[in-house]
Amino acid sequence: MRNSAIVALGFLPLVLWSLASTLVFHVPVSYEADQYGQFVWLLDHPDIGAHLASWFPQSVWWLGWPALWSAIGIVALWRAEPLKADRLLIGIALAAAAVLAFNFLQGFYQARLVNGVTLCLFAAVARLGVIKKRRGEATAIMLIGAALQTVLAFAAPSLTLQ
Amino acid sequence: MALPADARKVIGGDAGGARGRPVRASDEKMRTALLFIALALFPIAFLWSVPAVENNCLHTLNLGAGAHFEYICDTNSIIVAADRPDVYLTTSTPWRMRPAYIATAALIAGGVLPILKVTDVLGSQASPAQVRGLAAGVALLIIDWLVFGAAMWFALRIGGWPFAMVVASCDLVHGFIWSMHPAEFNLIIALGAIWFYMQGAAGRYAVRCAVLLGFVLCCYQSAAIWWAMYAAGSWMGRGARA
Repeated sequence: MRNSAIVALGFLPLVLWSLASTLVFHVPVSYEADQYGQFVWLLDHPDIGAHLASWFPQSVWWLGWPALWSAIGIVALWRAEPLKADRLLIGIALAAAAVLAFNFLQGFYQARLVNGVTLCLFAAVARLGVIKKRRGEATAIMLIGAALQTVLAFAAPSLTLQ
Repeated sequence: MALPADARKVIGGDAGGARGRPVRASDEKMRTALLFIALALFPIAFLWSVPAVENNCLHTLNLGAGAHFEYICDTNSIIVAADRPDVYLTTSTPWRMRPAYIATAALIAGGVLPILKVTDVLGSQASPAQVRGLAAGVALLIIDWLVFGAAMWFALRIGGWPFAMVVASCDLVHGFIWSMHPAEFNLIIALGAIWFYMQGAAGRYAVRCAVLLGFVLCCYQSAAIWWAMYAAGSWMGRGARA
């Protein structure tokens, strides 16, 4: 609790900067909200469920083949033997959920910047390799994933801005 | 639930690869340095990957010998902000809430500028504004690489070298490492979230995490989730530490 409060002090520089910009330099600090409706779009679109229903499949689709491969790897390692709840694995799942939630609430970029979730999936593969004592398989899954990503990088452009 | 007893180690195996054998610190450093160089080959190779389809905001800059990188139109205003911090402070800009990003770019550009002047890269016909613009652009590329380095640092601690290879080859590196754009920070958001959770679970590095959060938040606000992850890790690990 005390440590979390200390880490929360990390918000202070941005808060002070916002105050300085507003009170000292007299310049607006809400460009993203004003221009793209980031986060405030929720106020105009109370039907969050409908947005969520269209956004989630879009995001999963956007993650592409590497995410599918890592998901197959997770299932394969998971099935190897019964798994006790693992705090770090829960943390990785929470990180993926946090990235998705932030992206959804941010609104403007929608599915375009959820790619970090793929890294969480591969982190889960790494962790499962340790707790299932199957590091060899986990390493193989990750190296094939890296090879797949490299091939895809030379097959299609990564940026579209569309 | 299983205690993350290995929370002080990497979760996906040892980063250095010491399999029970004693490893000298100098060997470890050498191996880590070589690993970083190997991982850096991915973004360098991406210079020869498929160019993006150009539109009104996305352009391909050819570097010769088939190498290229993408130039996003946002970069124009970032370069202006990094080149003129005095103007950045007092005028409305899309980068208002990225003060650490702009300040870091301005600082690095200040170091790059004399080198560009001495080497006369743009030739004698180039105006001072053009040279300063190039210095700011180079500074933004250096920041992209610093973010990549941070991502590798996180990745090696989270999942060891195979995971670092996944991160080095991922589409966030492919898309943004040469972009001169703060969207590159997306690379470290998810990784940082996992790392913050691990530190929270181990109940350590609160001050370091606060400083890191403070700096990265002033570059890219998605880092706000790091605090939530530290708090979640702290909560999950409370019984184990008691």
